[in-house]
Amino acid sequence: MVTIRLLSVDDLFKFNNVNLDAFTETFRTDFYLHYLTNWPECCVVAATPDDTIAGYIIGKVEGSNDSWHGHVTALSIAPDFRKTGLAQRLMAYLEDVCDRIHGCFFMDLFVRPSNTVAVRFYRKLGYVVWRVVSGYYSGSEDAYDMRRPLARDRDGKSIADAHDFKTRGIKA
Amino acid sequence: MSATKLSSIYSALDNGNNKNAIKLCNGTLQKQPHNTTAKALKALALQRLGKADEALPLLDEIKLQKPKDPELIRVANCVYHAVRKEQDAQEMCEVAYQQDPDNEELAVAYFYCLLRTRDYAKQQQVAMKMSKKFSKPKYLRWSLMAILMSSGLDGAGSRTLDLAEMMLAKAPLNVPPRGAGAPPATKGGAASTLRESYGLFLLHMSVLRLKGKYAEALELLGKCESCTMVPLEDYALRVQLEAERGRLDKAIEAVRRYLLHDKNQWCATEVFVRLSVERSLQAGRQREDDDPLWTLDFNTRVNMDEATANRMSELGALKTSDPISDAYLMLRHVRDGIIKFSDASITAPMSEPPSPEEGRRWALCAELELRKQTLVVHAEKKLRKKIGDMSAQELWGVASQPEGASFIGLIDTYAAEFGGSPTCFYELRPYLAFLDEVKARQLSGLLRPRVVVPQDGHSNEKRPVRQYMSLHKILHALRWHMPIDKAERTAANGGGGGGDVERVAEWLCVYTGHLHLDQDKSSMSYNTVDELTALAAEVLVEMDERQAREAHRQGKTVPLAEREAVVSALAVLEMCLAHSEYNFHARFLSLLIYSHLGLGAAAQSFIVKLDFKNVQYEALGYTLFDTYLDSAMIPEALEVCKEMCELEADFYRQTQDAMQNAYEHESYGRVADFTAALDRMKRSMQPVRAEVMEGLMNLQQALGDTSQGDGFGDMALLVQKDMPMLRKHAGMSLSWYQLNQDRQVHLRCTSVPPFPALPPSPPPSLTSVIPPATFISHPPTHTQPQHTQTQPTATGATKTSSAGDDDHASSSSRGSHSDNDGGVASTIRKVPPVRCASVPMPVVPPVAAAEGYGGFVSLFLPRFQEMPACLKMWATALSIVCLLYEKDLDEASRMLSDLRHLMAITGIIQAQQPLPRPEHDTALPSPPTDDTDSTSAAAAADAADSTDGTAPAPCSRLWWGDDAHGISSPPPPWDTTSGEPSGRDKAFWRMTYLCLDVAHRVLEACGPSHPNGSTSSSSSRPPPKPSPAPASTAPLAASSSSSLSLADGPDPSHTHRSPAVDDVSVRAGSTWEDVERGLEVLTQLLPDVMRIGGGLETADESKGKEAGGTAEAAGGGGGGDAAVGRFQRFMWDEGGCTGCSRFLLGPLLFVTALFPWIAQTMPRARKDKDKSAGPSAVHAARIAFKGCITAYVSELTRLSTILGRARQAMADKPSDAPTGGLFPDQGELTKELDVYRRSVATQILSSQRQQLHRLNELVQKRLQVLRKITFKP
Repeated sequence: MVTIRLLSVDDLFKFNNVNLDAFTETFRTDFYLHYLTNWPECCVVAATPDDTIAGYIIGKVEGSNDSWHGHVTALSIAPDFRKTGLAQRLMAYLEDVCDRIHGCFFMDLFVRPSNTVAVRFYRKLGYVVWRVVSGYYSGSEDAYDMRRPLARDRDGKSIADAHDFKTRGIKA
Repeated sequence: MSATKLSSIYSALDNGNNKNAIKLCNGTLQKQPHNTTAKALKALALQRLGKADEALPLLDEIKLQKPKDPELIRVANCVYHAVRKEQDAQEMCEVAYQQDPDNEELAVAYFYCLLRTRDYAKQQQVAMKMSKKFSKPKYLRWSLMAILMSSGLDGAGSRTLDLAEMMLAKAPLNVPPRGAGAPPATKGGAASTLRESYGLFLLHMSVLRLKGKYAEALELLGKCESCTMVPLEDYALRVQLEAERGRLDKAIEAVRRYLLHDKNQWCATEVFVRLSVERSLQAGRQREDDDPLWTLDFNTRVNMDEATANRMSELGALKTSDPISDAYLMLRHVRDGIIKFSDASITAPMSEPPSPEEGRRWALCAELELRKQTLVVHAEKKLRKKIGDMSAQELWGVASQPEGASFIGLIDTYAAEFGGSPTCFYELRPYLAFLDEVKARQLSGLLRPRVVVPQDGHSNEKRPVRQYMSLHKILHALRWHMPIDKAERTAANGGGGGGDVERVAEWLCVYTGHLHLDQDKSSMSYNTVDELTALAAEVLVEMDERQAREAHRQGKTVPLAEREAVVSALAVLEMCLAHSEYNFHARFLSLLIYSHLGLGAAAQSFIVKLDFKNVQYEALGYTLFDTYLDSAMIPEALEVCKEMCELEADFYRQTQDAMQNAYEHESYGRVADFTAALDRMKRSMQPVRAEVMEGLMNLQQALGDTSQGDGFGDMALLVQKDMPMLRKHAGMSLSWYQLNQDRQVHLRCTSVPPFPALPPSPPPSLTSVIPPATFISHPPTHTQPQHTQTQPTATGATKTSSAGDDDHASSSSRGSHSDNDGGVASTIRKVPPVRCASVPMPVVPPVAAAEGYGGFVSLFLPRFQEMPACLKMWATALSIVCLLYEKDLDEASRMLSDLRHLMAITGIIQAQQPLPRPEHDTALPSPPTDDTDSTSAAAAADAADSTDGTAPAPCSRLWWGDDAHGISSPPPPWDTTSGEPSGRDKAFWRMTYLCLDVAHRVLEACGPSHPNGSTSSSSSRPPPKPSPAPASTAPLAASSSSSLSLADGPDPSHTHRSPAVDDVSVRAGSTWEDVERGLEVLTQLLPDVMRIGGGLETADESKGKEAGGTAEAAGGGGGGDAAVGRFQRFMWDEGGCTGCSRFLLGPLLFVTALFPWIAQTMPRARKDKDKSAGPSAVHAARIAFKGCITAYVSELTRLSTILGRARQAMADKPSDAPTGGLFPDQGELTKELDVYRRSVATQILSSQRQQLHRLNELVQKRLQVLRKITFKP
């Protein structure tokens, strides 16, 4: 029983039960403000009835023409609310906004290969590793650039050359 | 200036080479002294180097030349914005714009300046002109936005809205194609069009709504549904518009359809329930029947046997005349699986249709909400009281037994069926907080039998253990409804009435037995059962607190090493971290416990691991501050101060920039959010605290530096840089501070909720179903000011601020959107808001309401409560120190008077209190008649530390104030019931005040205006600033006219006398007599207060109180030295460690800093011509001062000796903790716990050693300073 609502500035002072987690980065304030200003509809929190923040997602839309896409910048769930389907719900929200409101062709995101739980989760949602970006995380760790085509990309062009297809034999 | 030169300056600035930029600018200015560009760039470089005071005069020069070069204006604005001189920036832009109104860049810059100063009227005018001049529709929207922002303010209203409506007629709404049908969007193309349309749509809707034209708004919504940018926003808008229009039936239908799309959106359920209740009330009013169908017994409302339907749509036919019954009917149908929660007519649901189990879960929760809302309205009608004014007992008093039983029965059913879900507790928490003690007990009784200890074994099923944890979390939360008495809480808790120890042991068994459930987890993940260790730690800390209270009652203390419960709590958390290394709950709790124990070194390791950064300094900074200050970790505390101040500065700048960007990107929905965030940060206590504490730490640092050199003026110079900030805070009224605690204690503490907690639920709001961006909201409505105060502005003028703003922030920071809080909900106008839109929680038992962490918050609560007054006192005292060094007698006098007022307000001194006088003074007024009144605060607080609590006051001559506030029987250090300063704090502040007062009188007597005055005998260093006011202005006259008095005011006939004795600036013999009197009192007070602050006692006192052997037990080899034993007990077992650190960093810091200053300022008592006036009095004062220094040095030496012995005792002490004492032997688990206990014991001992070392260093520094004092009698 949560309410998904738009992220507000005040939430930045209340999301410690999510952000103290070692996997979650706390960015500078201007980072959040930039997203709140430019893509407010892509930044939402899931709050319990007493306004405890259970998790949040921050995203944006970018690119041009065929590469016009939604990007998942941050998705984090408080430990107490993990494995409750909340992450899936937040992803569904953002995908819905990117698909129906913005008419994006695909979604993409970056994730550490070592974060196996997250990689598994995104694969389950239909994301494939489109490419591997060397040294993306401070030069110390590679990143998976994962993509999932949206309704507008009927032919799956956005993932045609996906790394997964070459290395894992996954079919589009 | 040549282009090359300009380019090189910009290049230097871009590369951060500001010094070089200044050099280049200076080169240009030498040749062209009036080059404004060079001046502006130099100002920018200076500002970036932190030299704003040098930068601003340059800008003033530029301003006089009325520049209109946009680039120059841009650079100047950068400086103005950085130093928050928004008004100056606006003035410069206004002049430029008026000179060249055709320049779009200037116009935009002026508009942005107006955004920062929130001058909505001018914003509107300028944007309107821009719209006409430059023919850009965006500027028309800016103008409309200005009208909307101003429409909530006093004086603005229908006329401006009429204008807005006319303007909108010129801005028709185009519905852009979207989704797959739209052309591929780009950043500047279709995406911008979409956002523009959305911005315009919001403006249209908001204006129509504010005008009360709901029909037109709904019509527009019907045409432009696809303009919205948030899923289901059109549904939410419809609900809101219909509700505000008063058509509640339509609103209910709309929200029902919303729910069919997405029943997972909980706020929609809340709104559905609230509207149903509101409609029921409305129906009653329409029939002029006050209470037609108003029964809380839902079972008699609806006969479920007769009311059945197979589909949602069929429910309409079953409608009764009561909307509450209709809602109940629907919920029961879903709950019992009679109908599915879905509707075939809905083609694009947000979520998959829920399963029957999910539907039942939703319906159960919704029914709880319905019963809660109905009960609230019912109670308000019956009691004619607002819910916020009711106690939980009163609330439930209007409900019958079956109704109460149904409520807790529902909770019980929910917990039984869905306890296996990790979120069960969070879903029930608002309803648990709603219970009174009786209901809490009944619910405990229902739940206890349901607790089934999950079996170990190798099952991978997590549900049973989650169910077990959920039930224990609920039972644990219910304890906070009970009295704190041990038996009560034990009985209330689960585990078949077992004790806390048994329960914790059981949890730990379950914990270790189920670690295998997550054996495949990654190293950074948590174990499912980790929460059991957090619960165990909570109970153990609570147990420790109870044991400490009990021991205090019996006049005993238990050494830290033997405090089994708290050591076990830390060991349990260590165990958790051994299995889930990155569990931040466990880390955070460990930090809190170590911090509470005053063991900064141990706490710091967790601070490092938690890696606080950025905005976390605002929300969690209190833990860092308290840890470092209590452990005298000055460099670390200064670092936190710096981070907090930087965060605040960055936040201000970045949010202002974001506001500008919001207009640029047409994200109008964000504007109100940013405005509120700026206001909130402006009122936050954390930056205030950082600024004041930084001044304090700087004084401490200066004291250390001073001990190396000989210039005491350095001290003032170092603190001086904090002066403007300190003066600002010292000048604020106390109510300002109190109102500024907008991040309330429970919010601050629950921002990391590792435990079941019962914070008051935020009032749900009708508008919460609407995303905040939907309607453009107003800035806070300026309500009638309750407290008005003036504060200096940048230009030296004064402006009025109202507490109404603070009230607003206070409510909105709690997430409230009540009708009048000026937030999103304030946009509900014209029509009465939905009555239930704001349902605050009833007054739940104080403990439950205040303690987010239960036991943990109680450790921090007193500090928060004392914070506002303490901060103001620190700021005032520090300012006075600076002023004394500057010899600004007038201002020092005024601030001393303020401090005295403040001390009276906080109960530290009493109004009408005469001067404390030594015994030999024949003019001594009679002390209060009550015996207890003759006990000084110092003595009283000292008595609190005595074992029998009735020790006679060692300094009964001093009778500052009676103890109407309980000083004669002060609370134990951990007492959380009193928000007033403790007896110890009172004594500290009295001593600080007296010392400042003595210093002030010395300065007054010496007369800084005298040509050969104090400087003749003081340091050769010239005073940092000559006194602007002559001494004859009699600064003390003002304070003596006050009805509040700690010391007698001087005789007015003396204060106006001119200096008369040789080269000695003795203006009034009586003033020197006052100095002498004050010093004698201070001499008497110092040892007494030192004993309290430093945990010292005389040998005789100790003999009577030590039962023998305690020293060995506490010191582990103290050799029977009672003083050491006593000290150690005080240090580690009675909160003395934190007290001692604070004492050394607080009162002793002021006293030490002022003594050298007094010694250098006091004139010599030479032979004089007028023997009746000066020299003898000066001589007596000097003798008294010498005695005072001697007493002080003696006590500090004594403290140093004891610290040295304690360090020796600690060095010899083994670190082994007693093993297995608390829990029954459980084989492997006991052995494992013992390992962690030993590790904790080692950490505690190591931290204690470091703490003693730091304290000793502080004492040595003070001694060094005092021994350097040269005194020539």
